[in-house]
Amino acid sequence: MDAIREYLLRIAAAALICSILTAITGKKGTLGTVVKLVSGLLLTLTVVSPWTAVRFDGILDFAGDISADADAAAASGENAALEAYSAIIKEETEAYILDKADSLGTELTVNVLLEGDSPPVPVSVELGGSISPYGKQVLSNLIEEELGIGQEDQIWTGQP
Amino acid sequence: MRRAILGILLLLALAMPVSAMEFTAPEVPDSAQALMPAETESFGEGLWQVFKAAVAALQPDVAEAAGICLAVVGAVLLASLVKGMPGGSEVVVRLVCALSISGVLLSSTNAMVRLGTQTVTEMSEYGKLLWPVLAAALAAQGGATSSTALYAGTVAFDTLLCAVISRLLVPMVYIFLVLSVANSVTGEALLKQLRDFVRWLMVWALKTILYVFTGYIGITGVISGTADAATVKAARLTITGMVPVIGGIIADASETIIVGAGVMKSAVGVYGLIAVIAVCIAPFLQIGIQYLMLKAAAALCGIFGVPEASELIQDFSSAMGHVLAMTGSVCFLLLISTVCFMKGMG
Repeated sequence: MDAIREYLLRIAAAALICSILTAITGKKGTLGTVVKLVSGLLLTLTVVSPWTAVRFDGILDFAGDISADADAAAASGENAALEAYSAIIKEETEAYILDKADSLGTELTVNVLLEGDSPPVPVSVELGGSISPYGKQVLSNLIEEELGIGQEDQIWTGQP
Repeated sequence: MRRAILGILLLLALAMPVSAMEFTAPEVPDSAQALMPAETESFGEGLWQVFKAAVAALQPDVAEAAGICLAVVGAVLLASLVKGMPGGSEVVVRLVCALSISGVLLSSTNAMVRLGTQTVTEMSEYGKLLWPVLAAALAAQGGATSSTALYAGTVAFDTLLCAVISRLLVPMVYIFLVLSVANSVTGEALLKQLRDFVRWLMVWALKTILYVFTGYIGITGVISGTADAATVKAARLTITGMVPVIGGIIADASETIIVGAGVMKSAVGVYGLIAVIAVCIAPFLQIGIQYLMLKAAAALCGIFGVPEASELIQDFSSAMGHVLAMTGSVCFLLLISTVCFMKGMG
């Protein structure tokens, strides 16, 4: 960018010098003709010569970090959404289990564990509190059939 | 009774997690604080408030621009009187006239160029704070591919445009003015052609960057939008393959997140649009007033019979126009990119 600015300044300066010389000497006569020729050559050289030194290496270096920043911005949004997503699934699943336990006349503490991220799914559950063996069997079957959490992944605590 | 309490708790449970995912727009820069409306829910209402506040503050700038133009018209009138006197040298009159006009206009032109450059920098810096928030909100909605592509393209074009403006176009405005003054004094065709070339180059550079940016945004929106839609569809198919209850829970959660992120993204986008306009509008109107006043002065000076002076004032007006175009280009880039983020994923 600085090189282009310098280039344009050189052309403008050369044009000014040529114009002043032409204005002083006039356009007619031998001197005028010689000055016009020299001015034209000077201007042509000024315009053409820098192009022989043009290099395009690194011309787009400024774009290097942008891709990484873009990925980071998108990732932060995805992570925030995933956290909120997981929190909702956990809350709703726990609420569902609590509702079913309540319908069996018992109060439990529930902690659902999720796994994965597309989407996160409940893979195990920790249940605490007292419940009758019948109630435990019913609830366990319900959790397995309706929530897809196998009996081996259901951890019961505080049971006799 | 217990079911009612459980239902309320369930609703609260639905509400709480979404509020943990928050996207808030960055605060508007200090220079535009006074113009920002108190409420930014409605874009139209907010825009109107900003515009009213900016126009109300314009009075001193109009008076200043009118004073400058009167001084310029006075200089040209004097030159035309001297030119009409017997024994007056036309070359001397042209030289003195050109130098007087330049002397009167240079200070205000310099101030407007600095104002335009400062506004471009402020808008660009605000954009760099706004775009990550919009990109995160769009990614949270499921538009990860669109988000990355839009963010990368917008930042790249903004960086390029601001670098071109500050390091190339602003110096070219001064080169343009130098060539205009020299042309006004000497009347050389070469200087006139070079001046016209510099003017064309400035316009071409801005137009090209904006055309390429608009094309990139349009094409990216289609391609990445298609990719995101396919990803969302695949996720939905995964959910429908699950056991019914958990599938229903996951589907509801997904809908809640997408809607919540969409609402927050829209709110951030509307605030961002109003903030960008608030940053740009006052300087834009100030420079615009100078531009219009100089145009009027150039037209008025045409009746005094000093065409070189009229052309020089016209050139100073063009310089103002180029500064307006630079400021407007960056504003346009920010507004279009913000709207594209808001439109992504609906």
